[in-house]
Amino acid sequence: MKDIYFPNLGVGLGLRTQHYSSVAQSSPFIKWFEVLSENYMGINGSGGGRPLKVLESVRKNYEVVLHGVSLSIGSTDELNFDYLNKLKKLSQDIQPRWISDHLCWTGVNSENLHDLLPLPATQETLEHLTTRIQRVQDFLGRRILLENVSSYITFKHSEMTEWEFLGEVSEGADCGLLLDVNNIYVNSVNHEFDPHTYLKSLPKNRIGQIHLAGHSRQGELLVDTHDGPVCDEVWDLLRLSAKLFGPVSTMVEWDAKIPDYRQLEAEALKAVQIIKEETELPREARAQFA
Amino acid sequence: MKPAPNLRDLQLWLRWIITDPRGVSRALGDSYPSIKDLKSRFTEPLLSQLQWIETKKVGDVERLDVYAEGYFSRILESLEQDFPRTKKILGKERFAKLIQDYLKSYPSQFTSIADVGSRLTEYIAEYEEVTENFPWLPDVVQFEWNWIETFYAKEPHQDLDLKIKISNGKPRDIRFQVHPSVKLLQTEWNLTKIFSEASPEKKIERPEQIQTGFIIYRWNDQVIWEELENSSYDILKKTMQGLTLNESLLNIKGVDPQFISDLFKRWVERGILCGLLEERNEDDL
Repeated sequence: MKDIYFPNLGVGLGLRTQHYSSVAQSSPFIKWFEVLSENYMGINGSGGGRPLKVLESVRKNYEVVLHGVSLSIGSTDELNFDYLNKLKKLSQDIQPRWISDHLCWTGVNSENLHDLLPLPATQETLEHLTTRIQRVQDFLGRRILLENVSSYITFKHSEMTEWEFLGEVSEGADCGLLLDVNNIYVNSVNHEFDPHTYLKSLPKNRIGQIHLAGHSRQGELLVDTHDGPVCDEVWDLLRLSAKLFGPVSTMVEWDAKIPDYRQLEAEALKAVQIIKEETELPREARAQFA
Repeated sequence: MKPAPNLRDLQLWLRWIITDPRGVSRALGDSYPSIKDLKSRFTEPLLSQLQWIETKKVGDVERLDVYAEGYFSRILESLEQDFPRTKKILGKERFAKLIQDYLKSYPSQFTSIADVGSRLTEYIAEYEEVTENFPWLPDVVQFEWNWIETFYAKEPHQDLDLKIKISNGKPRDIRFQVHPSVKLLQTEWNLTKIFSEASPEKKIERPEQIQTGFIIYRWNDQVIWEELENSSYDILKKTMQGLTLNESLLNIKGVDPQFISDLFKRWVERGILCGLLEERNEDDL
């Protein structure tokens, strides 16, 4: 098992248009922002326009990481090198600490469904993903992180659990993992598994970032809507993650019904406190979770 | 039980189920879409794929519905933000129907959702369902898309010495570089009232049918639009084509020199003219 390293940047936030002016003023404990890569690539190959200009100015004062939604690493279409070229250019311009996307597919037959669609956990998918992740990493010249997605369907022909699959992909392709603990919770309810087993089974050395977010209920299912505060169960999973993996860069996602910047900072501060409490436990107390 | 589907077949099947405008239930119940002209896209689904979806606690249709609803609502929400006046004119339901029909003909092939509206101008021109009652709507859609393109346009290098260079040279022989965000738009209907009205409650009235020129550009990080009278429109159009002022004025008669001077001064101050083009080589002419 290789040791890989993603620096701990502390707790960050997602950069959203509504907060551009608040971000311009300094924040006491927010040291970094995650930005959606596609928002800064412009349209019709135009470049990023005003959003890119804002990002360049934010970058002067904060660390930035790029988070994409259109890599479609699990699609059976050819890799989209037009997209990858734009991503590489953005990365060269912004110099992010790392680049991440999702372990999913977003479209097929040249159509983009603009959603993070789940993959069956089979050997076929594993081999398909491993080859493609390696090609992307070679092209970008850096190791990427891939995020576990929330899902509303699973497949009967899956040959392993989601957590086993995540571990196999990251080891096989030598990439990092962006662990979304809200997605783990959402999936644990939708597909009836124990989220603690999930967390305890992951390869600790591959986890480079953690996501927190809110979700909503649609009938019997939980849906990953990013439109509210982090719930208690997800805070508990962050607590366990901190015990298991130590301090890892963590950020709060809030993409719909976006509150004012102060409320986001309050969520981030709560994450800071939990990570601090759990990672400052005596070594013996932490050992039982390792 | 049939053998498990390979990854490609599974993805093609899921795409079909999620994007079928009739909804998951009807798509699952009818292997041949009723929309004959779209058969090439909505190919015969392999209904047997359904047996590979876990249905513990919640049924397959309900689970697939989350994706189907998300697919349409995500794109609709993005286009509602990009085309607020089009939505206001049509109303929420009619706008949603327009987008549903648009997606049948132009499913997204873009990596960014911000691009999805790029062909709506082209689509709406032929969309008789709305153009019969709202013949000015294609102009509104075009205007709103130009606004988006201006917002995302490249930020060029701004020549800070431009004013000095102009005063040191022969202004009438200069070829200006126009800011990439600048859009010139000629509409069949005068949209000034529609786009001046800030109140979301006020009903949008039918505009006057008069050919009107507009400029949309970015200044101080804001997207600005202005109505342009004919001579300004023509001069700017020619400037954008790389012509000098002398060349631009060849076929425009009776324009007051002071008016021209003020016009260019304002365009420089507003960053619409942001630099000088390299001198053209005589061999290129």
